[in-house]
Amino acid sequence: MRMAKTTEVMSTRQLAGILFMMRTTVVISFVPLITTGSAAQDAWAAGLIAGLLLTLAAWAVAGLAARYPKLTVIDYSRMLLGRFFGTVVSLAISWHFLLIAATDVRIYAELMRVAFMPNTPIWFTTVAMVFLASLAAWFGIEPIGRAAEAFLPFFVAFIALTLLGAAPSVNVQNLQPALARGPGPIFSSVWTPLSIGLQWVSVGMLFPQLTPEDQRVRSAVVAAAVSSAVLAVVAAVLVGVLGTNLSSKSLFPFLKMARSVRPTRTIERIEILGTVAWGLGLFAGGSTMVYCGSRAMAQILRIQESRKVVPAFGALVALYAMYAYEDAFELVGFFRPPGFPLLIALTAGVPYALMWASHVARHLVRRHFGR
Amino acid sequence: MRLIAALAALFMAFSAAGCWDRKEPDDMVFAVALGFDIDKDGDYVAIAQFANPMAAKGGVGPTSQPAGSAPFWTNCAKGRTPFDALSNLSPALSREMTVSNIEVLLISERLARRGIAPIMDLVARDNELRLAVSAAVVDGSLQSLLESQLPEDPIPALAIQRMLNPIHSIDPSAMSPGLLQSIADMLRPGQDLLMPVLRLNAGAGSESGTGSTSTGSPVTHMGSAAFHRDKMIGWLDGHESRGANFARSRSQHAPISVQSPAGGLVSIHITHVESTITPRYVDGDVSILIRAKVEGHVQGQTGLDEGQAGVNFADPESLQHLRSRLAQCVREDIEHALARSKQYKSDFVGLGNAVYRRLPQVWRAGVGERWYELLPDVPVQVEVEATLTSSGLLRESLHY
Amino acid sequence: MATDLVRALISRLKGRRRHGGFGASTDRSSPSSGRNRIDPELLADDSLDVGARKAVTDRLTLDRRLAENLRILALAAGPSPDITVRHIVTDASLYAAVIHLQGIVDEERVEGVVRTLSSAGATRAQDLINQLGASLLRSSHVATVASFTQLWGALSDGLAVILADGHNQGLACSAQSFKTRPIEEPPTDTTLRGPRQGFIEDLTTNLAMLRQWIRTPNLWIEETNLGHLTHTRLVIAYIKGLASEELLAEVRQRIQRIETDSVLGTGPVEDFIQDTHLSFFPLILRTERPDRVVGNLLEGRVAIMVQNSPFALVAPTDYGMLFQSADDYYEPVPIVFVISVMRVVAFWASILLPGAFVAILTFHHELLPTSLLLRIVGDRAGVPFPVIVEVFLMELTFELLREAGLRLPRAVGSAVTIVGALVLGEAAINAGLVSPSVIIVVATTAIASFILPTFSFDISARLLRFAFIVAGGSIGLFGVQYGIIMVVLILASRRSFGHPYLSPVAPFIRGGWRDYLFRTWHWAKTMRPKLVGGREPIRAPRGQMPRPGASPESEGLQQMKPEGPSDNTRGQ
Repeated sequence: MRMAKTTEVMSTRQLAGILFMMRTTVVISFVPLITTGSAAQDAWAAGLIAGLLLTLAAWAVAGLAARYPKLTVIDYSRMLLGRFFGTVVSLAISWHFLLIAATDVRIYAELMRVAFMPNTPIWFTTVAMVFLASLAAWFGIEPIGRAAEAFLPFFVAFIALTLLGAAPSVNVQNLQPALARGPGPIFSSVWTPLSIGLQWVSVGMLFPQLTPEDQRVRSAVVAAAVSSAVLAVVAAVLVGVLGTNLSSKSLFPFLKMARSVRPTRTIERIEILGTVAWGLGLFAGGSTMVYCGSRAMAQILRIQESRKVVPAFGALVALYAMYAYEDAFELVGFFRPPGFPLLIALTAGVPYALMWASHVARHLVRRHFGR
Repeated sequence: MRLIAALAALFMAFSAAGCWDRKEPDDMVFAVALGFDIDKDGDYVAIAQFANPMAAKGGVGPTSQPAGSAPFWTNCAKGRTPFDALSNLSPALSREMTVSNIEVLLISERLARRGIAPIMDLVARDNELRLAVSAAVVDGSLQSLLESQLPEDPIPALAIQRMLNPIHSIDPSAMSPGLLQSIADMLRPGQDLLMPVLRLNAGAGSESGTGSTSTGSPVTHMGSAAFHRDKMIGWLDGHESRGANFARSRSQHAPISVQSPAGGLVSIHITHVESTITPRYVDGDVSILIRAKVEGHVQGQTGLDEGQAGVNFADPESLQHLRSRLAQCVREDIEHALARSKQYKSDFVGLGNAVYRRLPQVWRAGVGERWYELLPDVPVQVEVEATLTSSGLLRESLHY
Repeated sequence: MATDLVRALISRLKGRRRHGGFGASTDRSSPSSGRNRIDPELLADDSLDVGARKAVTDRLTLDRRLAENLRILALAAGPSPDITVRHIVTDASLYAAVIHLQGIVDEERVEGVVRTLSSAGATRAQDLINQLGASLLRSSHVATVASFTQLWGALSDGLAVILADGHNQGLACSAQSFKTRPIEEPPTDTTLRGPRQGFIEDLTTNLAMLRQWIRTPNLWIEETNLGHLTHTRLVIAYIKGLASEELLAEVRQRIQRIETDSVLGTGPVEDFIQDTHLSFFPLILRTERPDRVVGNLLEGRVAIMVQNSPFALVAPTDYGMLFQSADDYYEPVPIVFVISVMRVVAFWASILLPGAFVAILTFHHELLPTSLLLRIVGDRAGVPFPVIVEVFLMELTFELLREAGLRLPRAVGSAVTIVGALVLGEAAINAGLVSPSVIIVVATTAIASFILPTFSFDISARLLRFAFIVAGGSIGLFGVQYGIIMVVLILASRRSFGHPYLSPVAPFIRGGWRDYLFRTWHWAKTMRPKLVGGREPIRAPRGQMPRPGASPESEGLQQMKPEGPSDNTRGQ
C-alpha cells in the first residue's frame, strides 16, 4: 500500500470549481443533451435526469474514495481487485485522463478552426493548449487550483451574461409541447451527458490532497448537481432561442446561439464571452487531467516524482488529440450513443461497481469475523 | 528557470506561427448588405453592397482621397449555388471580401418563389454569416434597391437595417426579427414563414450619388410575404400583416381609426397586443379559437366641425362604443390575415403549431401530416377584447 | 617567501567566513587575551586586497598601550582627515585619548566628554575607564569597546571613543548629531487626508516614527549589519505574538544568507530575499509611508528597514496589497470601493487593451459593430503600417516620452511632455502615419497605467503590455487569452515568504477582500486576515456600528429645554 507522495494541498472549494468548470465547458461546447439523442425540446428534462444520475455516480465515486482517505484510486483498486485486475483498472483510469484531456482540447481546436480562425492548423491550437496544461501540471495542483479559483467567477459571469443576452430571444413556443413525447426520447439524450461525467474519476486521484476533510465528498457531489442544473438551463435557453431543429443540427449550438442574437443596439456580438469562458474552463480541466494522469502513471510505474512524467504525458495527450480523430465528423461521431456510453460504462462503470462490491464484501467479512 | 522556458516556448510558438489568419483591415473590403437573386437559367446571383469607409466618414482625416467618392458601391456575380455566387464576387475585388459584418440580407421575389432553403443553409452553415442579420423580400429590382441611397445614412445598409428593426413600429407592416426567427418559424412544425417586404418606390431607381436632392425615401417597408415551407406564395398587404402579427402576439404599435360615436373618426394608438391560440378537437374535427387582448389610447379625432362636440370621454357608453369598434377593427384585420393564410395554404399565423403544442397526440395521430389539406376548412373563431388606457393629454374634446 | 606564507595564511583566514546569528557581528577577535594573535603590521602591505584587509582587521583587538592602538587605527583607517584624536592627560596624570569622526558628532558634547575625562581622578587606567562608564560621563549611552571592529563601529555610529593608556578596553559614549533632511511627505505616495509623514534616510528616526505609531512593547526590532564594506544597518520590525514564528524564522534566515560587500538601500536587500528573481510582479512591497508599514505590521507582517534608504520593505506581500494606497483608509468607504474597483479594472485594462485592440482589428472583425468598425477602418485608411506595428510604435514613443519626462529638470519637463503629446500625436495623425483610434487606445492605456499606487508594479505592467501586443497581433484573441491564463497561472504558483501570492483572489479568503476591494468601515474590521494574522484573529469586538442616540424625540425635547449652566458641557 503506497501513500500519496506529495505535500501539495488543495481546498475542496477549488476542486468543486474545477469539476464544475470541466463539465460545463465540454457540455456547453457541443451540448450533447441536444445534439445526441432525440430529446429535442425536452432536453432540459434530459439534463435534469442526467444530473440526478451523475450526482449519484459522483457520490459513489467520492464515497469510495472517502473510505480510503489517504490512498488514490490506483492504490485501492489494486487492494480491492487484486494485483492484475487492479492494474488493468488503473491503466484504464489513466487512459481516461488521457482521453478526456485530448478530446477536450481537440473540441476546442475544432471550434477555433471552424468558427474563428479557419486557416490556423489544428496542431497549433492543440499543442499550445496542451503545453499550457502541462506547464500548469508541472507547477503542481496548488497553482492549478488557485488559478481555477481565480477564473471561476469570470467563467460563471461570462456564461451567465451570454444566457442573459440570449434570454430575450427565447420563444417559449419552441419548448412546447413539453414532455409530450414520453420518456423514450428523453432518455435517449441522457446517456452521453452522463458518460461525460467520467471526469469525476479525477476525484479518485485528488482525494488525499483535499482539505478540509469533512467536506470532500460534499464538494464532489455538489459540483455534479450544480453543473447539471446549469446545463439543464443552458439546454432550455438554447432550444428556446434556436428551436429544436436548428439546435440539434448545429455543430456548436451554444456558439451559434451567441452568434444569432443581438442583445442591444450597442452590444451586438457576445460570442466572445462564451469562447473565453470555454478557454478558461478548458485550461482548468485540461491541466487537472494532465496532472492526474501523470500522477497515476507515476504510481503505476513506481516513479517517485510524478512531475517527471508530466512532459511525457503531455506529449501523449497532444498526439492523441491530433491523430485519434481525423476530422470534426469523427469527433462528433465519437460521442454518439450507444458507442460512447457503452465504452464508458465498461471501462469506468463496471470497475467502480466491482470495487464497491469488493469493498462492501470486505467490510462485511471484517465485521463478521472480527479484526 | 521555468518562467524562462515558458516564455521562450511561448514566444517561439507565436513568432513561428506565421499568423495564418491575420487579416489587416486595410486588406479587407467589408460587405454591408447582401442580396440574392436567381436568373432564368437557375443560376444564383449574389449582389453585395460594399462600404467605402474613407468616404463614409465625411472627409475628416488624410486628405488624399478624391472628393465626392461614394460611401458605398455594389458588385454582383453569378454562380450555381449561393456560395458559388458569393465567391464569384471576389475576382472583381482588389481586396479580400468579408461578409461577417453584413447588416441585411435581401431576397428577390423571384428567388423567394423558387425557394430560399439553399440560402438558409448557407447562412446557418457559414462561419462568417450570422443569423442575427435582418432579412426581407424585395418587391422590385433588387439591384436598384442595393444601389440606391437612403437619406438617413451614408451607407444604405445601415438605414435598411434600422428600417427593418424599429424599436416601436407604428406602420402597418410586419415586425421583422432577424433571420433567426425566420428560420425558426420555417422549421417549426405547423408554422410557415412570414417575411417582411421592402418595396421600391416608383422613380427611385437612380444610382447612388452624393449631392443629389433627396426626393423622399426610395424604399418603403410595407406588408409581408407569405411562404409555404420555403417557397413564397403571395403578398400580404399592410393590414393583413398587421392582423397576422396581432394573432401571433408579436406585439407592435399600430394606429387604428374607428368610427366615432359623435361622427367622424377617432384614431387609437394600439400599444399592446396579447393573444392566445387555443385549438380544440371535437369529434375528429379541429377548431381554433383566437383570443386577443388589445390595449390602446386615443390619439386624435376628426369630426370636430362647428356644432359638434367630439367624443365625450366621460360618457361610459361612448367609451364602450369606441372599444367595441376597436375590437371590431382588430378582428377584421385578423380575419383578413386568416383568409389569406387559407388562400395561400400558408400557415403563418401558426394554427398548426398551436395544435402541435397543445394537442400533441392529435398532431401525431395524422392531423400533422394532412395539415395543409385541413387548413382551409378549419373553423377559426376570433374574439377580441379591447381596452382604452387613456385619452391622451386631453381629458375631453375641445369645443370650438 | 615570508610574504607568500603570510598571503597564504590570510587567504585561509578569508576563506572561513562564518556567519554569526542575527544581531551578532563578524567580529573574530578574542579580546580576552591582551595580545593580538595577528600582527597589525600586515596592514602596511599595500598589495593586500580589501578582503584580506578585512580578514586582518576582524581579528585585531585593542592593545593596552595607547600608542599601539592609535597605530592600529592609523594603519587600518589610513590618513583620513576626519578622524580626530584628542590627546589628554588627566588630572591623575593618565594618558588618554578621545577619538571621534568629524561631521557626525556634536562638538559640544565631545568637549563635555573631554572635560569630564580630564577631570577624572582615577589613577589606574582600568579604574578610569570603569569610573567614567559607571558614574562620571553624562552621555545617555556608553559601551565598552575591546576590538578594533567595535572601535570602528562605534566611531561610525557617531560615538566618541575614549582610550586609556594601560587598559585594553575603551569606552564609547554617545555624541551623535547627524544632518538629515526633515520629515516631509514622500513624493511617491501622497494622500489627501492622511498624515504627511514619510521615512527619511536615518534609520534611528524611522524607528522612532514607528515607535510613535505603535506604542505597545510588543513591537520588537532586531538589528544586524550587512555588507562587508558598508556594514549597513538593517532592522526587522514585527509585533511579537502576532507575526508567525515561521515567517520570522524565514525572514531571518534569508537575511543572514546575504553575503555581499555593499548593501546600498533596500533595493539590494529586496533582490536578495525575494522568493524568485525572475518575477515580473513585485514580491515584496516597498513603501515610504509609516502609516502603510504600521498597518501591515498590525496585520502580522514583517517590515525590513535599512540605513540610508527611506523605503521600507514589507513581507509577505500579495496581489491585493499592490492595489492599496494610503488614502483608502482615510476616505469614506463607498468612494473607496468605487475607486478600488476602478484601479483593478484600470490595471488590467492597461495591460490588455492594446493587445485586444490589435487582436480584434486584425483577426476578429466580426466582433465589432459595423458602424464602429467602419469608423475605425475609415480613420486608418492610408496608414502604411499594419495595426500591430502602429500600436508598437506609439507605445514605444510613449515609453520614451515617459522616461524622458522623469529625467528632465522640472522646469523643462512639462513643456516637453506637452510638446510630445500634442505635437507628436497631432503631427503623426496629419502625416497619415498613425490613426486616431490607435492614439486614443495608447493614451487611455497610459492614463490607466498611472492609476496604480505602487510604482514598482508599473514597470512590470509595461513589459506585460508589450508581450500582450505581440500575442494579440500573432494569434488574435486566442493569444490574448493564452497570455492571461499564463500570467494568472504564474502568479498563482508564486509564493511570497510562504504566503500564496494571488490571495485574496485565490485562495479565496473572504476576510482578505476587505483589504483588496471591499474596504469596510473601521468599526467593522473585527477580524485579522487569516493567513498572516491568524495567530490572533480577532481584532476588535463586534457591534460597534455607530448609532444615533436614544430616540429623536427625546433629543429634540432636550434641545427645546431652556439653556442652563450645565448644558454647555453636553455634546462636543
